This record gives sequence, structure tokens and C-alpha cells, in this order.
Amino acid sequence: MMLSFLIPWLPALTILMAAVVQEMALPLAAWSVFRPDLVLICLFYWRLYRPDRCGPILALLAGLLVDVISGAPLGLNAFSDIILVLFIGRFGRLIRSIDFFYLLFVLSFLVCLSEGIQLALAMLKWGSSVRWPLLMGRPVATMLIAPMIIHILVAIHQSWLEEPHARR
Amino acid sequence: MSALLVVLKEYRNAISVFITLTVALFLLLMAGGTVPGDRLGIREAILQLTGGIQSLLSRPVSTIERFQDRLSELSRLDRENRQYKAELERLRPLGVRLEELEQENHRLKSLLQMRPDPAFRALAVRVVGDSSSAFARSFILNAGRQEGVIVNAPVTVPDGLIGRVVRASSSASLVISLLDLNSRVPVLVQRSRVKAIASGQNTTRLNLEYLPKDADVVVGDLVVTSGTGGIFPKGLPVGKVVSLEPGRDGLFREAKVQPMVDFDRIEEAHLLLPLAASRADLSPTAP
Repeated sequence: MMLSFLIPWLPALTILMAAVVQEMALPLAAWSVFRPDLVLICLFYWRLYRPDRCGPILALLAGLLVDVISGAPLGLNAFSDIILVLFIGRFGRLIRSIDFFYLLFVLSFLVCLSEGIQLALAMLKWGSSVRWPLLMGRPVATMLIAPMIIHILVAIHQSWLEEPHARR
Repeated sequence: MSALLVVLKEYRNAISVFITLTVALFLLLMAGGTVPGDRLGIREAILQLTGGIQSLLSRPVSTIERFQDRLSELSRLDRENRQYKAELERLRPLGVRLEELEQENHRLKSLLQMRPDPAFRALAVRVVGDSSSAFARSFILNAGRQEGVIVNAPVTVPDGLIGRVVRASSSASLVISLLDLNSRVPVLVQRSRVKAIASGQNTTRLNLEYLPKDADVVVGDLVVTSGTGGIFPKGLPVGKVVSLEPGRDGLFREAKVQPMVDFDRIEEAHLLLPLAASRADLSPTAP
């Protein structure tokens, strides 16, 4: 297949796609409040099931991309994404053993953690101006949309990264 | 050198974590959240790119929004249209009623402008029924003895005389019109003062009886009440002479008079009640 050289980069491509969709696809007012963290879902999945393809560097680049597209202070998402990737790597074995339904809550917790890290950094640097509705809406929206995204990632994973393409 | 490579290989994860975190923190805290190469316009370029993509992506969204706005606008217009139609249906009878009242107002104003004979007082009444038949031309008024109506009271409209009361109940009265076969009104020709009797023929015209053969009467002369007989006040317009014929007996002439009043269009009238009406006149029927 002509595009087979892209297969090892599928996790990175899905994260890139997630960042684009997350930040640009639906420029609606409601979307800013209930904007799910698609990048985090992708990082979560790939870090859990293909840690060899998803490390701190990819998290750094994904976070920087989100920062650039969203206009956030550069490094804000990058830093929190790296921390999350490290967290997932540290507790990966435990998380993998959790039932899928509870994984959604773990994911929601991770979003809260990410928001917390960003909030702490933002407060450290700029004071306490923060849009709380955005912080509240994101974990809920992420948890709601996560099953669909993870289903897509599982399909990509099984189709392209396990057999037979991955073996070749 | 090889020892360094071994160390790097062994601690590559830790090193990559350290480097990435350092870069992120450096950008965030040290560089103030800006790209070191901002002066080269990197962010502007990315903004240009993402802005273009976003505007492309937002096009269908804005189209849908406009469509929704248009739909809601149409829905609102439809709702308003129905409301206005219902309102129009509700107001249509009112419009007819308004026109009716306007005409009535005009007629009543004309009635008010009539100056009755000083010996009479005027009572405005409404025509509530037409009791005409093949042999009678009469109508009913909505005023009776309670209002002071008496038999033989003249009934007029602004155009002229229309008849007299022949029967009065407590709240209604029957009026015999000038056109009735039994109607006889003493009149005179206004121009030549020739006297005659205007009698009804149960047609649309009156007949002038007892008009002398050589009387000075021409077509177009106005005929008014003469005041003789004590029933009708003097000077009420009755009609205009429209034709003259020799009498059958050769002694008198006959003239046809077109009444001044259109009897088919009478809705309100004035009853002329004598100020010094005798109690004898208050009998319920005419002699």
C-alpha cells in the first residue's frame, strides 16, 4: 500500500486530527463551554495501549499544537499533556484493568487533572482570572463523547496497528 | 563517548520527560507564552491558516444558522399572518357597522337640521317595520303613546312629508304614507298658490285632485302642504308636478306629483306633535 509508511504515525495523526476537530470543527458558542478534550482522549488511549507510539514528545507537540490553534499561552496545554501522559504511564497497568464504564470516570478525572494543572499554571502566572464554566463543562463533555472516540481509535488500532499491517 | 551513549540510552525516557517539561515550562513561564520565533510571523501564519480553515468549516454552520433564522422568520410571519387574518375577520363586521353608523349619523344630522313648525315639536323616531301590502302603503314607528304620539300626527323627513299616524299603541305607531289609497293631503302649488288635494294612488306618484281647469300649474312646480284641515302644518314639501292631464269630467285638471321622498329608503323620521294637542286627539285610531 502506498500510504503504508504512515501507519506507524497513526497515533500522531489521530492526535493531530483530534486537535484540529477539537479547536476548529464546530465554531459554535455552545461548543466553547462543552468542548470535549479530544486530544486527551487520544493521548489516553494511545498511551495506554501503544505507549511505544505515544510518549512525552508527542504530548508536547500535541499540546503545543492545541496552544497555537486555540491561542492559549504557549506551553500551557503542552505542560499538562506531558504530565498526563506520565501519569497514565505510571498507572497504566492499573487503569487497563478497570472496566470500560469506570474508565470514563477515570478519563473525566484526567480532564479535571489537566484543567487543574492549567489552572494552577495560569494562576501562578496571570492571577485568578479563569472562565469557570469552561472548566466545568469540559470533563462532562469529554466523558460523554469518549465512548465514540475510543471506539474509533480501537477500530484504527485493530485494523492498522495490530494485524496484518503492523506485523509487516 | 560510548559511555555517554549508554547513559543516554538507559535514561532516555527520563531525559525526554525532562527536556519536554523544560521546553513547555520555558515557553510558558520564561518566554511569556510566546513562540521564540514570533518575530518571524509564525503565529500569524498559523492564525491565517487556522482562520481560513475555520471560516471554511463555519460556512455550512452559518448557512444552517441563516436557514434556521429564515425558518423562524417565516414561522413568525405565518403566525402573524394568521393573527391578522383573524383580526380582519373580527373587524370586518365592525367595518360594515361603522359605515352603517356613519350613514345613520348623516341622516340624523339632516333630521336635526329640520326646523319644525313652531306649533309642533319634533320627535325623532325610527322606522321599525313596513306594513305595506298590495292595497296599503304604511309603516311602523318605534314610538307610541308613551312618547306622546297622537293620531294624525304628521311624519316628516328632511326631504318632506311622508304621511301621518293613523294608529298609536303604547310603544309603536302605524303611519299611513302619502302613497296610500286612503291618504288625502291638502296642498298648494308653491309658485301659484293654487290649492288642491294630493291623494295616494297606491303607486309611486300622487294625484292632484280638484285642480281648477285653468289653474296656473306647470310641470316642475313644487307642491307643499297648505295647512288647511288642521292636521299638517303649512309649507311641508310634498312633491313636484311631473305631468298634467285634462280631467275626466272636464271641470278639473289632473296632475301627477312625484313625491320628494324616496319611500323605500326611510329609516328615521320626525313625528310632529302639536304643542297644544287636545285630549280628544288621543284616541287610539283615526276616524
